[in-house]
Amino acid sequence: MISGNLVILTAFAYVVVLFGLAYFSDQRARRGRDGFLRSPLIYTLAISVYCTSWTFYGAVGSAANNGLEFLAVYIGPTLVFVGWWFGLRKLVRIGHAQRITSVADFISSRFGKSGAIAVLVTLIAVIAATPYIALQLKAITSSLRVMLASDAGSFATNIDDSTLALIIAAIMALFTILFGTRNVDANEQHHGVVAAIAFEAVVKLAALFAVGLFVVFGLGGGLAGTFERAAEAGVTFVSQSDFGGRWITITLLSAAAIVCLPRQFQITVVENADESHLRTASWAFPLYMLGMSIFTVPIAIMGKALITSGADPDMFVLTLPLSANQQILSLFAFIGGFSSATSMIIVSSIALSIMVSNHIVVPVALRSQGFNANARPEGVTRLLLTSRRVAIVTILFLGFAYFWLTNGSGALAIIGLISFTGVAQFLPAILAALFWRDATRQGALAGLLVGFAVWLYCLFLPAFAPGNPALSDWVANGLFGLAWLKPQALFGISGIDPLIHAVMWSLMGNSVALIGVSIATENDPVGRLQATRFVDVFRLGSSNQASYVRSSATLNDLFRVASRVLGYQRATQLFDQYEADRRDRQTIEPSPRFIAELESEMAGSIGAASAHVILSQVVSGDIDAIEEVIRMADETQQILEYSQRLENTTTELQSTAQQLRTANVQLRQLDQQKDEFLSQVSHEVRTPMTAIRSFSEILLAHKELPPAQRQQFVTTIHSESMRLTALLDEILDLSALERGESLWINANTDIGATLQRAIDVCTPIAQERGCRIVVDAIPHGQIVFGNADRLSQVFINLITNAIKYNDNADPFIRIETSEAEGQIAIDFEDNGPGVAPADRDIIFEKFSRGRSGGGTTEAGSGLGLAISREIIGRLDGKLELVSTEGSGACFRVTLPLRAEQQAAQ
Amino acid sequence: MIAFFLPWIGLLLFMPPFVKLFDNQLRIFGVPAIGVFLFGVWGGLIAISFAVQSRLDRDDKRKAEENAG
Repeated sequence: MISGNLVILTAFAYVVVLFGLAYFSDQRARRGRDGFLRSPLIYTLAISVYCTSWTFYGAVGSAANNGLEFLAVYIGPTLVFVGWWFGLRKLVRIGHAQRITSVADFISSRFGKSGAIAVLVTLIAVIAATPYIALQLKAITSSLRVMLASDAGSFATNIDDSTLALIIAAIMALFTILFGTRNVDANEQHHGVVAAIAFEAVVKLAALFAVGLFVVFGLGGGLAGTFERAAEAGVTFVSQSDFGGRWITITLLSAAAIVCLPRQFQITVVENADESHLRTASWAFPLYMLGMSIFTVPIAIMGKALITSGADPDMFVLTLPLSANQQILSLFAFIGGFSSATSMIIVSSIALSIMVSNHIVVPVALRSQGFNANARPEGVTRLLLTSRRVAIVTILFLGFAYFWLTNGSGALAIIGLISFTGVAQFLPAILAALFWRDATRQGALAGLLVGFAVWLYCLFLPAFAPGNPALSDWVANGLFGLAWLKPQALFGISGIDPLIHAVMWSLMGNSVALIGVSIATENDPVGRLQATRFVDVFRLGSSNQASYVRSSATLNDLFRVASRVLGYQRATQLFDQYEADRRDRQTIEPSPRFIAELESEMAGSIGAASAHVILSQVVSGDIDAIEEVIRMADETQQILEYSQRLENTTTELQSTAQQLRTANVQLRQLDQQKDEFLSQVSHEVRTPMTAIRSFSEILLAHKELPPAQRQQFVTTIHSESMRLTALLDEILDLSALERGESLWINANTDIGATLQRAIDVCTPIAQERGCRIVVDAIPHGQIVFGNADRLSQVFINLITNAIKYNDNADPFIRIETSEAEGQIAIDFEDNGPGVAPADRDIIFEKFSRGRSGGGTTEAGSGLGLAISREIIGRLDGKLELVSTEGSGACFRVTLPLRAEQQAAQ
Repeated sequence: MIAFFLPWIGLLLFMPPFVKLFDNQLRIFGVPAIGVFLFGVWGGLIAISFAVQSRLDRDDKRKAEENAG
């Protein structure tokens, strides 16, 4: 039997330990030894403030009623964290770059530092948090009730639930004020609170694990045993949740909540010390949630099996150990649940109070003349702290009021989902802030307003209906009795789960309004600047562009403002540093960069919108200046794009020019070749023509020439004409070959017979010159595909060349054939003077003769080798000058043999 | 690359057409298949995410060493 006073005492002791821990951590951090506090582990544990008493108690209740549906609440955040690369990374980067203090600050800062949006977001956040805080109060109240039920002597047994909840709310308010509002941090980072939250995360996990292990192995007899008991007790988890609309909706809602909930934003983005911590959190936070929910189903099963049916399933975590008389364990479980509730209340109310003070109280104070006249240096700091304290008390009181008005009805999970749907209204605005450059302030404002209104009407207000006849009637019959305005069946769409209904209409209305109005309106200069800074945060880097170009403000004015916001010490420090930096410059006016720095420093304390308003009062003409900057930036952007396009075009042009240049070079070469050819042809034609002309002139002039001489001249004219004709024939032949015209018909040809015929033709010439033709072996039956006349033309040309240019005393020609790899090679070797090294490359060119073949009067046309090479080339063969060892030249003809011929062999 | 696809794979596996496959009477070691499936996919996502983080950390360290050297 636990004494009631012991329970209450333990809870108090726990709170004191927490406070000590927070205080100690703050001291450590202040002395700069915050290495451990800034570790990714602490960061992850702090994020698990997501797991509140909804998780601790409510998940079991949800599992008992709706099966596995409770898991969707953790699957959404798991997907968001596993996909940190897409959204969270950008969010955190922007948070650091823009010194964001809250989710309201984030959205308003993106949309032109708009005060109206900040106020609206703050309002939605506060109202949406109310059910959530009520949920925690209900959980603590119920758990206290359960723990105290056995002790009739305790004072708490004699008071009703509402009073108990009020007492708890009051204590929580006091505690949070002590925790979170002792000072105003430059970055709104609360190391002490984070440490305490991390500690609480460990406590609640350990407590739930202890209960889970006890239930599964102490009561159920292992996992399999537990599930067998489930069947006995008539509890089945299969097909209990539909995995349909509600499953998808809750996954979506929880994914939105992990980003949009003010307390999650506070921990994940604002308290983030290092972007790389996200990597650890990407797996560690899902792992934590998995740990928190792994025992949920067994506890729900055993609870249903062992506890009488009237009991509240939300409290199974406590009632199971109590029913087994495990008092220490149940006390531990109670502390675990207490932990999860307090951590949520603390972080939530701190985050909300920052939003309220920065976005509602400070702007209002700034507008009142009385405040501006008040020049006390600590004015703003004191105002901030006081307003935050008041805000915390108000928020907790609102939570209590919700609890009281709804008579504490509804399961924990249902209350929580109302809250989630409320904050999910930030999601379209946040996504637009991150990824859509053209989203405007008006668009965001319209989206938020529509979403908020639909949520209020469809989900928030109907929750009060059970205790209120007017509201009940309204829910049942619609506003003013109009059926199409029924909060849970808008426009006559009925039969859907109220949650899905509300989520669908609110998020749809929200997005449509955001997109529609954004398209219809245009961003003002500040809005455009901020849009670029947010959407392109990775491209721009974290450098702060100066947003004030010229200013009429004096340093004194600025100092007065800064010291009021930041406190005298911090302001002095900043200005001293600035003085030190600019000593060498001769300006009295503060530099634009310094003013921008000052604004971001102040934004860290009071939010971007307020900081902007304050500085704008001092720095006159800044709006014009900003517009100028924006116009310049726009022009720069356009010029950049234009020059990029230009660059692309230039690259294209360059490559085209390069191609043209290459083509031109080729054309020039061809042109030169043509010129050379023409001059060579003219030259070749001119020589015989000269001879013919001169001889015919002699014949015309001297009629009395002796007949013998006359006969000789006519013969010369005839032979020169013959040479000319032959030359022209060869030129025609060659040009036809080069144009690729086939002037002959190819057929299977016996290469040996063709060679023999060529040798026979040449033998008389050889004998005339006293030249021997040595033939090693004439192949027989070797077939190539070609034209016999053309082939013998080539052979005759080669042999006659060898004979003509051979000046050796004992001239001979050796003809050899060899065969390899389906090719036949015929070598024509002589012992003449050979080809001079300089001529080897040009010997196959047109009109090039082996001039070194002196001693011979016989002059060829210089086209023979060129024609031969063309012919052999067209028969897929090769004609080359292989070697000139010592004296003599060796030409080789290589031709492919017919494949069928090879196969036959 | 894996980090890019991970959330989408998770989303696919957790959403109706897929998740309903396992919503039957089948039991694995006495635990309903649907439970094993959901926790299994969950655990898998965590494991892959952990592997991605380790690799990123290693890359960072190597880069830091390269910069130092």
